[in-house]
This record gives sequence, structure tokens and C-alpha cells, in this order.
Amino acid sequence: MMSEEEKSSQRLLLRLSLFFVCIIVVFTTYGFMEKPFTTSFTWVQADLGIEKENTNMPFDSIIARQNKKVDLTVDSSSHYILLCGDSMTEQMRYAIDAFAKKNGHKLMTCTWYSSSTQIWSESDKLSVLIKEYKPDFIFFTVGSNELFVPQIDKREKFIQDIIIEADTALVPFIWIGPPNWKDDTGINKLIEKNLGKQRFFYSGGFREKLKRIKDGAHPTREAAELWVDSLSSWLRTQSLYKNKIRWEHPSNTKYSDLTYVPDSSICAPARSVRANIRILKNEDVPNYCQSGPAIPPTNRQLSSPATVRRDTQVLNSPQIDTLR
Amino acid sequence: MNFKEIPHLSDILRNFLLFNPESPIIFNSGSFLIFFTLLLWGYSLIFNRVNARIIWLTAVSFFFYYKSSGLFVLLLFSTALVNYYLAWILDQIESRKTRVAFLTGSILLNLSFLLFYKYSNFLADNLNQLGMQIAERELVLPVGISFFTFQTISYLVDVYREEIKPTERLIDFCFYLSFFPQLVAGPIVRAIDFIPQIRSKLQISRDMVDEGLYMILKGFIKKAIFANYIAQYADLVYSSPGQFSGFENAIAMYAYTLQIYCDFSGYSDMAIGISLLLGFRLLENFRSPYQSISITEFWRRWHISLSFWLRDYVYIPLGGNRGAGRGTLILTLVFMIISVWITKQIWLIFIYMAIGIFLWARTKDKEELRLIYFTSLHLLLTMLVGGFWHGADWKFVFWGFMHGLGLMFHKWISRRMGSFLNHSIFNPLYWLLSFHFVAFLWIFFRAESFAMAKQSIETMFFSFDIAYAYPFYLARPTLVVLLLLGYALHFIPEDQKGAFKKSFSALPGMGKLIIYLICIQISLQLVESAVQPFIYFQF
Repeated sequence: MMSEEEKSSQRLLLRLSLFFVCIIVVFTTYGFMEKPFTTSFTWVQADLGIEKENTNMPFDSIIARQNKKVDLTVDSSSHYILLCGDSMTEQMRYAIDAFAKKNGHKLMTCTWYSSSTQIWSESDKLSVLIKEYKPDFIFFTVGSNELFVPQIDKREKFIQDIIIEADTALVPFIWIGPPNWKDDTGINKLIEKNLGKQRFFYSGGFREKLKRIKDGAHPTREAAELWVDSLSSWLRTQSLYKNKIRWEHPSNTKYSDLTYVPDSSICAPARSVRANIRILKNEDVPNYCQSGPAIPPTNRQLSSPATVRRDTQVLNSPQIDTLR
Repeated sequence: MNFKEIPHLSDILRNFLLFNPESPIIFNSGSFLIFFTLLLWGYSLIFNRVNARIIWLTAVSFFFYYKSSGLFVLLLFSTALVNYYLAWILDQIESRKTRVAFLTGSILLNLSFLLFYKYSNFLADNLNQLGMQIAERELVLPVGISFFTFQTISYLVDVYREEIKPTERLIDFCFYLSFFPQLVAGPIVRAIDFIPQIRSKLQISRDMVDEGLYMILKGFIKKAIFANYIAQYADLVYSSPGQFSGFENAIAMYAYTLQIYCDFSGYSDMAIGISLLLGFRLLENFRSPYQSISITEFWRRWHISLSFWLRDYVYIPLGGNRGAGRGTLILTLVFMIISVWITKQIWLIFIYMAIGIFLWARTKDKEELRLIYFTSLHLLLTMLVGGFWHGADWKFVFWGFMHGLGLMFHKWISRRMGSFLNHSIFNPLYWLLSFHFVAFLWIFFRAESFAMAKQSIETMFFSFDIAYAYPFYLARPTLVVLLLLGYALHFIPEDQKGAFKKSFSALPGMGKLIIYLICIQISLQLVESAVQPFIYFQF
């Protein structure tokens, strides 16, 4: 027989069970509903006025930027910039171009889909591109196709070849690391080891924070914009070339007016091109220099990371992309 | 209203009953709600029968651990089994020397599991840096191993000191060690406080239920609303601090300071609340620690169960304020060798020798002064052990070392200038210094590595611009509001907090239910993706 105290305790325990059952019932019903009553408290990057849910990228305020004084230690002349690399250049070029335009620079993008350090090294393509475009500054992004390569150490030779190609030309060279979507087998470390922290921008830290397109690998246009924002803030503050190029945020429009364009003949005619993007192909290594036709990559439908590797064939029919 | 397809019952049961590393039962998850409701329902039927109650709670505790750590539940069981018999044997031994030797062996046995799972890769990594070639193993750290290892050690030491008798039944000891509310992340329950409750007459009063519900709600708000949301910002900044402005890094420091408090004390509050609903009382583990005006006070308010454990089982056995023993010498030498080893600075040996000679010469004929130095040394060593307990990484050792220095400095300055500095007019200044000392050291605790911590600190000090404040608020208003609200709630005086508790207790059941539903709803709206595990699970 239970005492009165025990009965009272039992009643309390049963009522407690009921209390929690009520919570379960409410939230189970709620969980099964297709449109639950949630309002959006999403983690947003609000400063650029673009919807970027869950992007979680560095914040750099417009107002604070505008309040900054012009840094007189930075080279204020106009630069001719070459952005080259694998398919990651695809979305990135829009954001880099925005920076370039606002700072009075000119951008040429060369995309080689599915390329790797090995391909770039063996083709000497970087040297040829430098010879062709005579850039003052190079952004290079390769490595996304080698994130999961076993025996990554074997790639070191190729990385060193690429760096030698860039350094021989005495052009400021920044290697933008691949935006990992999973842990890599060491490509980032290998590039950093050979290039140093001041010339290699590590993008692996963003991981899940970058919103990707359907293939799960390439950042969306908005995410690429934020990726470039981070790259830019690193370039301005920590890179070896922080004084070599004016690279203020596009929202800070006053910088384009302040950029010094030394001589228009430097930018033309040799370095001017009809399209500002060009798609490189495996088979055109010897004759790739034919200027003109380029392919718009913007509407490609990629369904999985595997399809990225098949892109070369898809893109072999040339089209013209006139962005400007 | 449209409804999603309802999953098959067998899938639900399989997910609920079988171990899945992706979905452990965590206090602030839906699965815990179901688990606890079933537990309570079963408990209400048998709670008045002592053996049935103990068996039921032990079984669900082991199930709870199985859901968190899978087959490591066997490790937990074997730890309980072995220590139950070790305590009995220890209790039977009469010779003091044999008792000491047996206790030492038993402690080393318990520590060996902890060392193997938590520190073996760390050791291998450090030895490899010296040129050795030791393969690192892929080890999974059993959840809560640091906590239950400390509990078994305290149990054995208490039996050795004859402060308690070993439990008569194995099931009682299993229950003590595996009691699920405190199993995976503390508080570290002392046998002397808990074991007497196991077989005492159980009575669950209305006050206990109200207090339990209040504590669970408090813990839930801290964890699911504050800690989880703020964590997103801290994770973001500390993933690459160099890419953020000094202002953002400074905010990240304050954010993490609040996050770790809300996360850890939230867990403790829920553990205390859940235990109360089952009729057991666990001791308070946090008492508004950031209100402290000294580092000594901070450690009396922060993770109280760990502070007391370290005091009773490390600081006092080393000699406390009564002079040095053999342990002091051994531990000091160990840490000195380690510091030379990791920094690879041989000249440190000469510095240590110089300090040793200076202290010996100074204290040659001054017993009192020697005691002061030894007390300080014991504090430092205790905090080094505490730091190392938190994780197999030098950053934790450094964190503990700095707290040890802080404690030493506070002791020294209180002794030298106590009467002058004791005036309450200085309290705001002391608070400011203590709070920022603690917050600053959390950077080392949180950052991925020393290099990252250095980057964050450099950016904070050399690229700070207050002009970022207003745009920051515009960009992250929810974060700013939660930070301000969180700190404001933390600094509410204790009596005011008591008033909250009273008001909650006075509500009818329906009122409490509505508050619970609102809080869960808010947490769902702020949630990032899945349920976030508690920070202290990793320790």
C-alpha cells in the first residue's frame, strides 16, 4: 500500500508526464506541417543588400568603408588583371570584375574547366597567358579538382612549376585556394607550403558556409561575391601585395575616381581584347592564343560534382561572351 | 492544412532505439523529450520501490549513454564494475602503505583509459615532432569519459580517506556513475553527496517539481536560444579571424564568453532540473561567474564541481598552503620538462634554475615566505592540470597556466596591499579587469590553434575601429540584441533572479506549459540547422 505522500508524488510524476506529452503533441503536429509558423530569423549578411541566407561570410560595413581615408601607401595606378584557373573562376569573375571596375582596373578571365595543377604545369599555359596579356596582376585559382586526390605530395612538382612560371614573369601572383566542401587530402597545405601565406588565400575555412549551386561544389553567384569580399579584405590587409594594387570595395565608389591611369597606350591595343572571358581547352594548347570567341558558362546546368569533369566536351563549341 | 508524409513506425523506433552518432539524445532535442516522458511515466509506477527505481534509472542511464556513445557503454559498465570491487578491496586493506600503493594503482588504472582515449594521439603527435615515428590512431573519444573518470577517482579517494564506505551493491555504484543527467557533461557529482540519496526515502514535492521545471527552462533558454545563436557568430569569426575587422574580433570574444557560459551552465541547469524531477538533488555548478571581482572568486562561481574537485584531489594532496610534498616536486619537474620540450628553448632550464636558486636564497630562513611560494606553486600546478583536463592541446594547458598565474597574482596582491585595495570603491575596476582577463583567455580556449588566437588578438588590438559599431548593429541586429540581453540577464542580482523563480512557480500548469511552448518556438526560429551539441561533451 502506498502512503499519502507516495500517492501525492506519483500524481505529480504522472502530471509531469502529461505536461511533457502536451509539448510533444504540439511540436509533433507542428513538425509534420509543411508550412510551420516560423518567421525568418535567418543568419543573414545584410550589408550588401543582397539576400544571402546562411552565407556567414565576413562582414565589412559600407559605412565604415566610406569613412576610411584614402590610403596613400597603396599604388593608385590602373592595373591589368588576369584571372585564370578552373571552373571556380566562373562565378568569381563577376565579383572580381566589380572590384576591378570600381578601382579603375581591367580584368581578363581565362577559364579552363576541369583543369588541375598537373594540366597547368604540363601545358605551360600560364606562361603563355602572361606573354599574351602582359598582366600587371594575376589571380590564379586551381585545386578544386584535386581536393580528394590521394598521394597529394606528387602534385608538389606541378605547383612549383606554376609558381616558377609566374615568378619568372615578375608579375604579382595570388593563388586563391579551392573553396572546400569537404576535407581535402592536403592540396591547400601543399600550395601554402610552396607559396607562403602572403600569396596564398586559403578558402577552405568557409566550407559549409558558402552556399553552393546544385552540384554541391561551386559557390552560387552571391556566395562567390562574399568569397571575393573575403579575398579582397585579405588582399588589402595581409597579402604580400597589399600596397601594390588599389582594391577597395565596389560600394566605395570614390576610389575609381582616384585611380591613376598612367597612359592609355599601356592598356591598348596589345592588351585589349574583344571579350573579357575566354575558355581554354585541352586540345588548343599550342594555338589557344586566337583571341575573340569565348563561351558563356553562366547557364550551364551541373547536376553533380562528377559532371564538372565532363564540361570540357560540353564547352567545345565556341560562343561569344561580351560582358562589357 | 497540408501535412507531410508520416514516417513508418518501425523507422521511428529504429532511429530512437539504435545508436546513431549523428543523433545522440541531447537535452535540448525532441528525442530527449520523448525519452524523458517515457522515463517519467515508467518511474511514476515504481518510484516507491527502491530496487525497482534504481534498476529502472540505471537501465535508462545506460541506454542514454549508449545513444551518445554506442558500444562505449561497455567501457562505462566495466569502469563501474572494476571500481566497485577496487573500492571494496581498498576498504579491506589495513596497512597504510599497501592502501596508498593500491589507491595509486587504482587511480592509474582509471587514468589509463582517459590517457589512452584522450591523450594518446596528442602524445604521439608531440613525440613525432621530436623525430620519432609513432602512428596516430583513429580514436573516438567516449563521451563524458573525463567526467566519469574524475567521479571514480573521487570515489576511490573518499573510500581511502574513510569519508565514505563503499556501496554495498554493484547496482548502486552503477547508478551513481551512470546517472544520466550528469553523465556526459557534469556537474562532477561527488560520491559523498550523491550516494546517500540513492536509497533514501524518495518524496517528490510540488516545490521540487516547480524548481525542476524552472531550472530546465532556464537551462534550455541559455542553451537553445542564447548559446546556439551566438555560436554561429563565434564559429564564423574564429574560423578565420584574420579576415574580420578588429571590432568583429572583439565582439567575437564577448560573444564566445557569453556562449560558453550559456552552453555549459545551461547543461548544468538542465541536469539539476531533471534530477530534481526524479527526486535527486545535485549541487549548484555555476553562480553568475562573470559577476566576480577577482579571478579567485571567478573559480568559486565557475564550474564549481570541477573547482572543488581540483581543490580536494589535486591542490590539497599537493600540500595546499601547508608546504610542499613529493607530488609538488614531481609535477613541477614534469611541467618544466614539458615546457622546455614544446618550446624547444633550452635556455628555459637556466631560467628555472635561476628562479629556484633565487627562491631558495630568499626563503632560506623564512618558513612563512616559503609556504606562500609553495601555495602559489600549487595553485599554478592545479590550474595546469585543470587546463590539461579540458583537452589534449597545448592551448588548454596555456589557458590553465594563465588562470594559475591570475590566481597567484591575486593572492599576492591581496596579501601585499589587501587593506588598501579592499575598499569597495575599487570593485568596478576589479570587475572590469577580472571579466576581461577571463574573456581574453577564452580566445585561446576557442581558437583552433595558437596561430589563430594570435591572429584574432592582433586584429583586435591593431585593426580596431569603433566606426564599425553602428553598421555591425545594422547587419546583425539579432546577435546584438541577444548579446545585450544575455549579459543583462547574467548581471541581474541574485535576489531578483529568485523573484523570477517565484513568479514561475506561482503559475498554474497551463501557464508553465505555454511558457515552455513559446521558448521552444523561439529556439526553433533561431536554430541554425540541427540541434547543436553541448561544448563540454568534447571534454
